[in-house]
Amino acid sequence: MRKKRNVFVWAITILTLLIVVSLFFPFLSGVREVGRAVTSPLQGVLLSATVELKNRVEVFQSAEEVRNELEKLRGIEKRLQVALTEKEELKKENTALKEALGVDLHQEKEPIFAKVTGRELGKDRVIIHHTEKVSEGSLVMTPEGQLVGVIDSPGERSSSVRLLTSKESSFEVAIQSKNDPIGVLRGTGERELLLDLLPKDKDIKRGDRVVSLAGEKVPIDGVFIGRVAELKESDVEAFNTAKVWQGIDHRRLTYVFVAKK
Amino acid sequence: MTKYIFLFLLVSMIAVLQSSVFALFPLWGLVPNYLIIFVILYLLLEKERSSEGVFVAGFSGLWFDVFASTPFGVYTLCFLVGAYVLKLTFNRYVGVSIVS
Repeated sequence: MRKKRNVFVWAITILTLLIVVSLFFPFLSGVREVGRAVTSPLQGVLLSATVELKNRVEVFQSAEEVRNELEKLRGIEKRLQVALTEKEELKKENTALKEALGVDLHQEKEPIFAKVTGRELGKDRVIIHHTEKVSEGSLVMTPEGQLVGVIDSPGERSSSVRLLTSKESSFEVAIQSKNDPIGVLRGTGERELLLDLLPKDKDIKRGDRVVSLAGEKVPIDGVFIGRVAELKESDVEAFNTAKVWQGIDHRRLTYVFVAKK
Repeated sequence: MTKYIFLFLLVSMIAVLQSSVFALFPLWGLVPNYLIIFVILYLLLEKERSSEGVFVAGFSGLWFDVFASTPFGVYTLCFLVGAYVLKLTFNRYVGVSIVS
């Protein structure tokens, strides 16, 4: 055992000396070159095969994710089909009721479904894609029926919508249940809208529902816009102002409805 | 002698795989050094009087030097010294002998 240990100590000493000498005279680097030259073909084959295998595994893993997503979507589709059936039944019931009450069915017009495809750069305008022709000034609403803007420049299949938040947007509005005009709604360029020219004698409270009022710029009455968020009363100014909160993130709009004029 | 040749080929194979294949399969974000693991396991499991583990460490250090850019021989030296220290420690405190 002692002999073995001595041999080992000698081996380490010689190797240390060799390394120290090779720092100044790099004769041992040739060994490295040979070693790399011998192994490089095998390494190349192994590496390319592994990369190929890994790519396949990743494709397989992503296929698994897609499959899971598809399962989820199938579940959603089933729920939507149920909802659609319910809607059809409600529609039939509605038609029957209207017929019974003698309401003229042709008076009502179905809104046009449109998909938001983009946003105009630097402007509070969105671009929508629709299948039917729309006209300038038509109201654009969320699927829930909240007003988001007005058709600004109509096209055959795509149009530009001026959002209510745009600084160019201003029109008369009313408080729901009180049909007389209460002020002018203006866009501020931010998410909040400004309700300007509010008469001081009008009873307006926080949370009041602001709706559209048919006029030159807006063709339909009573479309929900938002709620009064903050009332600013001024002793100096002739009119009060209020902030109107819509609660819509316009960047996330994907589908809208265009009301026919 | 045959055993030493076999050990050299085995260490070479692990070294080649370490420098090509294993790098693509990290575990929890890190690539384990299978060559070091092999050396430690060999030293731990070999017989007390056997000195093969130290040779395995020497071969491993040699391959480390081939695939590194440090002055040639530094890893060989580190592996040999490390293996010697480990061998002494294992003999004194652990004493598991499976590899003959």
